[in-house]
Amino acid sequence: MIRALCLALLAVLPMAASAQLDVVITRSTQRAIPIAVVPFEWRVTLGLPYDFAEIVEADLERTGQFAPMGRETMITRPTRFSEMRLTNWRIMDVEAVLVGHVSGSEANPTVEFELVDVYAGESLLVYRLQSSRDAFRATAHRIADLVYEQLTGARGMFSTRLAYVQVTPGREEFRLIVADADGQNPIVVLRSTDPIMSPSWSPDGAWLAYVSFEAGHAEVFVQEVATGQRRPLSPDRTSASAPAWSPDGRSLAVARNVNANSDIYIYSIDGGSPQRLTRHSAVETEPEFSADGNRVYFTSDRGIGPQVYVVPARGGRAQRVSFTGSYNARPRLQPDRNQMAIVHQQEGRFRIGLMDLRDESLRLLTDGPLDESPSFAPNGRALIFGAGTTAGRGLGVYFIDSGVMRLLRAPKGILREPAWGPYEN
Amino acid sequence: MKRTDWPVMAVALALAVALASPADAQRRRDRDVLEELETRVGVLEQQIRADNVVALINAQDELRREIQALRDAVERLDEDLRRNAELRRSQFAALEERLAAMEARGFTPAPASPQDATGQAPGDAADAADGAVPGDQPPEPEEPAIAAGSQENYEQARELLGQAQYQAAGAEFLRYLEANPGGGLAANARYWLGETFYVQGQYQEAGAEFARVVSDYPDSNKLADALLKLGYTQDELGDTETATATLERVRQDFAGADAANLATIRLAQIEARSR
Amino acid sequence: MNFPRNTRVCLPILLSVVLAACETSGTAAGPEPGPDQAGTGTATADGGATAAGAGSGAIASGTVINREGPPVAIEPGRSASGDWIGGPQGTLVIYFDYDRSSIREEYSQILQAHGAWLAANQGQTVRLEGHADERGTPEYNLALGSRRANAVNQALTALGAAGAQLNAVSFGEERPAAEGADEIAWSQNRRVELVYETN
Repeated sequence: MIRALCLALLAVLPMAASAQLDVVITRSTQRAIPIAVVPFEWRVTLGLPYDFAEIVEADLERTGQFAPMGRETMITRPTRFSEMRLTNWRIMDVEAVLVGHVSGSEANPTVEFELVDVYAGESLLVYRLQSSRDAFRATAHRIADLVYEQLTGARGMFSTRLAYVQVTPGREEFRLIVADADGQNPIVVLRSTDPIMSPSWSPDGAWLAYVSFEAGHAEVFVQEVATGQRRPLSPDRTSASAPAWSPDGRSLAVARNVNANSDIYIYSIDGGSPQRLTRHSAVETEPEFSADGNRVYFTSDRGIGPQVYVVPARGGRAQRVSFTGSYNARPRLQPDRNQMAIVHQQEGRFRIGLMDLRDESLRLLTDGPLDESPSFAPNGRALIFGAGTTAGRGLGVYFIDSGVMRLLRAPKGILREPAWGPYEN
Repeated sequence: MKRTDWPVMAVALALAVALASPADAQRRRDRDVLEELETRVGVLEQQIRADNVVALINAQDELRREIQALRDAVERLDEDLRRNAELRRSQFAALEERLAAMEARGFTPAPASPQDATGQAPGDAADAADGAVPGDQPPEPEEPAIAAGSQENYEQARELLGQAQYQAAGAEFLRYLEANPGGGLAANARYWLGETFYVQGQYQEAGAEFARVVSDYPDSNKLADALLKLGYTQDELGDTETATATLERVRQDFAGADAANLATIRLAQIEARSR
Repeated sequence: MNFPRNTRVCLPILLSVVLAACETSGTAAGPEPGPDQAGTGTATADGGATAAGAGSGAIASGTVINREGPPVAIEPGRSASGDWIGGPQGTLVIYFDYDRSSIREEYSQILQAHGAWLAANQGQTVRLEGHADERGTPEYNLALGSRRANAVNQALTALGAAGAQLNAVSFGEERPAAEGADEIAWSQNRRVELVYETN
């Protein structure tokens, strides 16, 4: 009865199917900070120069919060604050300038950089990072993180990773992919001829929980990202879906299907019998832990359409949270804010909304018509979602501060069900 | 069930045909017809059965949806009630704050009960008229005329109240009460002492002072206000039952007075909250 | 519910009873309600219209009494007109309305035939695969597919199948029958597939 399955575990094999984040759907509504990212001077005697500045610039620009000036318009290319003539930059209306240079050995170069406030005439950030040949990209993202934090006050999210599902044309293969936050370096961590759904990162970024249909029904697996080692969450192999990690990483909330009724259960990662959290004949799914781990938000259609409810993580009475309209599902809490992202349906359009948990006001971020699966960056300043826009399908990335939305697409097949990973450094 | 009608008729017809023909060959043919009809009746019954099973399952599904729709309506009404109660609470809090500020400025609105109007301090009358806030404004007890000299502490306390220095004001009211236990302003001082606690959220202490106004000065013109505020504090402390009884008493004993109106509103709030 | 009491008694009898098969019935019954016929209906409650096509086909053909042909036994899985509508050769896809898990009237005969076939073939099992269209969140749709599979499960159990013969699963929106973001594709994707398992 088990469907013929073809599973291949490839721990570290970069895929040719590199995703591209190049389509801008909406443009910034906010004033972007004019910044100049000057190409870093390559002082390493051996080896091919690596353009760190290019990556940093792309990271910053993507958010819509920065307007980098073109290299061709730079009159000089200083490599440190002391070499700079600030008036030159003031004329260009640039507010911040990033300069730097790379020195040392080819295998383990040192990257030194400085962020300069042009108007205050002072250095905001002086840093020296040790890099290595295979980590140039990561180093560049790290620099972007530091610049972003210095200029916006929010921690950068460029060094984080994404997980998502790629469905090949004809649905012949389902791939679970882990990639950098900019969509680069996609790595297939699981392939299957059966559907893969709902990837979810452990709080330390070392594990992924997801749903696989390889046994003929939806089942939750946990997999170590680095090694590819995996196991079913439940030893009894019951039908379950929508895994969500607790903030301490010790347990997972899942929607478990028993006797054709889906309820929320909490599984300890060390095994043991699951604890039942909801008890209702309606559909209960899409759990999400609160940041303190004390509450679990979830979707239930006990009131005809799906709505968001919250229940104490130790069990108790569920309280309804969402009231606007007849379809509010898949809650994801915004880090450090009293807001959550939801999928909201109105007149047949499924859109991503941001709901304030205090006054229940709802702000719709996207236009749909088939948007789903929102997931926040760990700094809460961006979210990724399964975008079904009129401009195309893929992964939408929405930057909350600028209102900029971008679309990440694969050359072949559909990308869906993204999960933005946690900080890893 | 219209479908059940015509197979029955068909059977009857077939029987009639069978009885009308005596020949053997005819009988055999009739038997075939009968058998066929029987089969067709069976098929129909089978169909009815399947239809019924599906109808039952769908009815169950429909019921589930009905219940879900009802639950949705109940949850929405519940939420509306909760929000309304919250809104009213915040409106009252804002009003009370404004009033406390007005009182603190030495500004005395309309008298709590008409017969006490004579006791109003000179100069306050005009302010009171200007400051008449519509309907739901908490009562402001007026000051009785008192002998000069004994009211220094009292005046200073009111002054401090005006500067929102509640603790200092409370201490001054207390000093006045110690110096003039039977003074003409004792009930007022006690009442205001309660207010200094109330405004700081010290409901336990506030309640004790309001209760003393009620027990020690039963003839005071502060009685209605003190009782009302006592009810408020009891409610704030979570003793809904006692609060309800106290506010009920204000409503009945001081019918027509502002305190009674305010008690009525607070009672409605409590009721809305408890639903 | 006026469920005719005598049907319980009747069922075993009528299964063994002979049926005069109409030679013409096969063609008179028309094509079986496959995806094209039943599935392209709009999401509104127009199930009744297509229902007539599937359900009454057997009755319409039955009204022509064949006085010549020999009576043929009702076979579990076949319609009154002799077509396979249940069992592995029967109609294997049940379509649903948007966001609903109620079974359209047109499928009652088909489910009856499947139930009868399973009752007569106790060793056979069937997997009921619930599916949803792509609208809405994937996880919620998984639950919706499960609810649909369960509705079919309930019907088949009531119509003769044993619980152990049935295995209801859901694929949510993950395995659409038709690609496309319009009602034509969606209506074909809101379905339960009956997958007879070869033992």
